[in-house]
Amino acid sequence: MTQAELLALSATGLAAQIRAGRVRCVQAMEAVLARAGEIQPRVNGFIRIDADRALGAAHAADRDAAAGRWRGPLHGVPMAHKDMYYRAGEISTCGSKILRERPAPRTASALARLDAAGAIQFATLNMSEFAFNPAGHNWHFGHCRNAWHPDYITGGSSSGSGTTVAARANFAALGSDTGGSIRLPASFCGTVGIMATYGRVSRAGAMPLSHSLDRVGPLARSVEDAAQILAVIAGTDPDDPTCETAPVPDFVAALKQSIKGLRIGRPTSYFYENADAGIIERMDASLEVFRNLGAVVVDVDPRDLATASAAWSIVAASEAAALHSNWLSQRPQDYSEQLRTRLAQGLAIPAAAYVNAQRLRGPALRAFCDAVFSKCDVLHAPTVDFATPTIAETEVGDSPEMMVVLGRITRLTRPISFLGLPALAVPAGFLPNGLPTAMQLVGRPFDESTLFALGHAYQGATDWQLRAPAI
Amino acid sequence: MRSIVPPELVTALLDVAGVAPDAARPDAAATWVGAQLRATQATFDALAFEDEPAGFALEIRGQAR
Repeated sequence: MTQAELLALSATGLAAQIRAGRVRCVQAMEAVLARAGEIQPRVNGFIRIDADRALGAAHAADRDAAAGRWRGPLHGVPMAHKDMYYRAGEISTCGSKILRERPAPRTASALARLDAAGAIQFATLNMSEFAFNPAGHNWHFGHCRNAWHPDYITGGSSSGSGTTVAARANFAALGSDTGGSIRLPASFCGTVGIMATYGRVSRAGAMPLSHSLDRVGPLARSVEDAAQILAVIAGTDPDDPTCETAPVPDFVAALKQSIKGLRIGRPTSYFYENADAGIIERMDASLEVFRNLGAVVVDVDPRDLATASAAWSIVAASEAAALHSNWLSQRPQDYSEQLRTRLAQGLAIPAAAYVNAQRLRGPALRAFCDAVFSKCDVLHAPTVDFATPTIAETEVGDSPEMMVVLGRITRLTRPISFLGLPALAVPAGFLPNGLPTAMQLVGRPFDESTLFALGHAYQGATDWQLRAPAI
Repeated sequence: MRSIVPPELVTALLDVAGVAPDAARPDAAATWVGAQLRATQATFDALAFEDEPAGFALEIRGQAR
């Protein structure tokens, strides 16, 4: 197998090759490290690469394999993660200047579970400063660049996760999603991303941005990879009080579920109000694929998502401002101008408005489920409603138009975050500018299985996920 | 449209929090906060007296299939 063929494998595909003895863990690690070094000058996706340690871990994994000691379903698979997942004693910069020298106090539960499943972390990834910029910009470590064209944004805040997985320099990555930070880079970079139901995955040891909205999840080459990784990291955790105790379904088995007769909802309001023609064309084409696979497409009206979107802004800004208030007063110069301005404006939100936004979440979720899931099994919508912008177009700093530019990027993802629902971003082809875009499939609470079944069936009928950027 | 949040209030709140006013753009912040309050006020007014934040955790489990 050539290095290019190896790097083209999915994470689960590589794991199968390792288990079959056709690829050694060290061979995979050497390939991904070489590729990472090759693309870093062009996309700036990595913050730190731990080559020696990763190679040592890969040798150990090969020794274990030779002795028949298989650690788990990701044995020997190299992965790099958004630099906000703590590993005890190591630096997690969180994309910031403020945490550039602080050793992490513990290891993130998600990382510990990936370790136990056999994955080998080889690097940490660039991200928006403290995960609060949907374009993916970072003024401390340099902006991340889209692997499909370096003039364009990656989306954020899991910017390095999107661009390194797309560039075949990483087999899969943890991202995090508070208002779109998994789904946006997945869409702009052409990868899969799963934001599971709020409470499905432990956030322990992951940097907080907005406690009641933050979610942990992977960006991956395929839906199958995303299902496998979510299966590894999901489930109850005594270190996260919001983590659900209910058993986790078999997401990998769910990939084989029939989608015949499943009802897919096409929204008649909100999602297409400002959509570019290219986005509509890609979404309609993906719905046609689902029809051909035996699913039924029905119109649904998700109703008042504009209010959910504004309520999300109140919650996210308030919680982020509270988390950062000490540093805002003591180290304001260590934030980028844009983030300092965004965080400070959260201090001006009335407490009653924050509490009311939280009070709204239950009734809003009930109304959405009644309106949507009484008519369909899954809502199908664009992840973004416009073609990928350039870095220059979104370089707005803390200017007065800042919130307009940033707000437009997350317009279609924020409401789903507010409602706590699971959403799977799946590449749905390319726009006239040559960059990818994705649909988001939104499910009932804790019904990630249906999303995986649909996404996997779609990828079986299309080949978007097999295309790689010529970088 | 004039913001329903005066910039002077933003400046005062920043001052109380120990954050220098130049850490934000009080005019822009007042406009943005005001827009979020306008967009949500009618819906907030329609909440039932008994609705509480913890209701979300119950609802998300209750809506699971």
